[in-house]
Amino acid sequence: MKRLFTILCALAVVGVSQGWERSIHTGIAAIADANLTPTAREVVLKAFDGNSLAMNATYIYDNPHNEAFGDSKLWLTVAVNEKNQLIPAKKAAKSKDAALNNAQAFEALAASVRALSKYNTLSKQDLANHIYRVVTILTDLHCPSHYLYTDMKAERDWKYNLNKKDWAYSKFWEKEAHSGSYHWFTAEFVHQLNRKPADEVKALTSGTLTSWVEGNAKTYRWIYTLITPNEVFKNDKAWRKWKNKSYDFTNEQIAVAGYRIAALLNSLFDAEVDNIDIK
Amino acid sequence: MKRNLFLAIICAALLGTAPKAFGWGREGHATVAYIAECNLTPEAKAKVESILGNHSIVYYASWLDFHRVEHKSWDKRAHTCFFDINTRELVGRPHKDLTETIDLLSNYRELTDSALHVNLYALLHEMGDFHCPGHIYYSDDGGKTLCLRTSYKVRLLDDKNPIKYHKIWDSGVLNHNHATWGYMDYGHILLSGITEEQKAEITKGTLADWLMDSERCSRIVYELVPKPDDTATFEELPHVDRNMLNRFDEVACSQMLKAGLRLAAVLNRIFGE
Repeated sequence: MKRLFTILCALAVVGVSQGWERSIHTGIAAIADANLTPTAREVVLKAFDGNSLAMNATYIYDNPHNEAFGDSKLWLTVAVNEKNQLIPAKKAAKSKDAALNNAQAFEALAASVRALSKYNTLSKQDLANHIYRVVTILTDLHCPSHYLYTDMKAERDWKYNLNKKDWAYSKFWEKEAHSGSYHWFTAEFVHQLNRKPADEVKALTSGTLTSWVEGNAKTYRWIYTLITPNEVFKNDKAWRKWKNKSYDFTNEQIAVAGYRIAALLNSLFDAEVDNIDIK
Repeated sequence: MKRNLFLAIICAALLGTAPKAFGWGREGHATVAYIAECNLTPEAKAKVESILGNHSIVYYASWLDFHRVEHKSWDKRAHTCFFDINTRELVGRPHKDLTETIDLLSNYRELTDSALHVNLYALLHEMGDFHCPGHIYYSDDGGKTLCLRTSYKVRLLDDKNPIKYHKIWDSGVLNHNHATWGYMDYGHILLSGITEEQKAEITKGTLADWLMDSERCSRIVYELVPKPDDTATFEELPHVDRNMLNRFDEVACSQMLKAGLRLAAVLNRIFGE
C-alpha cells in the first residue's frame, strides 16, 4: 500500500510539473535539431555524448532528483501584466497573488542563456545542464496556458465539463489541444511542421527573448476568448466542433518553439550567427 | 486524513490523463496519405502543398472526420462504400460522390477556394475509408437499405464485454498489432518491399475497378467473423482471437498500401501537369 502511495505521489508530481506533454517536448526538440547550424550541432553533440536535443528533450522531467533541476517546478510559467509585460521573478516571488510566486521560468531561461554565452568556460556537465534548461523552458513557454496574467486571475482556474466530468482548461492546452487531433511520433513532428520558408522562419526568430515571450503573452490571450468558464460539452460531437478551433494554433506554437530553440542555440554556439539578446 | 489525501492524489493523477482514441482512424488515414505523398511526382506534390498552405497532405487526412460536425454537406459525405450483396457491384451514392469529387478536382482551376479545399480533403479521406475492410457495406436493394455491415457485436481476445466489430477495424487492428508505429513507420515498411511493377499493377484501372478490388479483398472480414443472430449470447458471439488479428493486420496493411498508391495516382493525374 505504501509503495502504491509513493508511486501515485510521484505520478501526481510529474503530472503537475511536466508542462507540455512528453511527445510534444520531443517533437519540438526534433524540429530544433533539424534547424541547428553544423557548428551549433557540434556543441550539442559534444555536450550530450553524441545524442540529439530530441533524445534529451525530457531529461529534466526524467531526472527529478537531480540537484541541478531542483527548482524545475518554478520553470513552467511566467507572470505578465495587463500590457503583456514580464513581471520580474523577484517581484512575482513576493506577490500576494500566490500563483505568481512560482512563475520564474523567464529568469531561469535567461540565467542559462547568460551561462551558455560563455559555454567554452563551462564544464561538460554544466554545458549539458544549461542546454537541458533552455530547451525545456523555451518549449514550455510556447504552451499557451503557461502564462499567468495579472489581470485575468479567474481564467487560470477555468474548467470545462465534458461528458459530465470537469477538466482543467489549462491542462487542455498541454496535451489535448494537439493529441486530441494528431498522434505523431518524433520524426512526424518534423515532417509535418518543419516546412516554413526561410523568410518566415527569420521573421519568427527575430527579436529578443523578451520580445518572444511578451509577444506570446499577447497572442495567447486568445485562448480565453474561445470558451466560457465551466462551459459544458454535452457530447463528443460538441467537443469535436469546439476542439477544431485549437489544433492549427497549437501546431503553430510547436513549430515556432522548435525554430526559436534552434535560433537561440545557433546564436550561442555559432560565431557566424547574430546574437539573440535577452532584453 | 491519509485516506482522503490518497484519494485526492489518485483523482489528480487520473485528471491529468485525457481519453485516447488511436487506430485505423487517424493512424490509418495518415498512413494512406503518407504513402501517397511518397509516390507523388514533384510537380503534383508542389501543387497540392501550395493549395494546402505548405502543409503535407497527411495533415488533412482526417479533416473530414474532425470537421464533419460543422457543416451539413460535410457530414453527408460517406465514410463507407456500398455493394450489392449478390452481384458484388457498386451501389448507392458513396462511389458516385467520390467520382464526382475527382471530376471536380480535375477542373480545379475552376473551383472556388473553399470548394477546392473541401473536395481535396474528401478525396484524401475517402480513398482511405473506401479501402478499409470495416467500411465495406452490403445492400440487397440497390443501396437504399444496408443488409450487412460491421455494426454487430463480437468478442475480442479475452475481453469480458462485447465490442462492436466496426470498432475493431476503426481502432483495433492497427493498435493491437503495431501500437508503437507511426505513419512514417508504416509508410517506410509497406513501401520497402514493393516493386515499380507491383505499383503499376495496383494503380491500373478505374476508381470503380479499385473499389471492386477493395470489396474482394475485404470479404474475409465477414467470412472469418460472420454476423451472429440478434439473440446470440455473449458466449455465442464470434470470437476475434490473436490469430485473427494477425490475419486482419495483413489485410489492413495491404489495403492501406493500395489506397495510398491509388490516391497518389489520382493526385498525380490531376495536379502533376
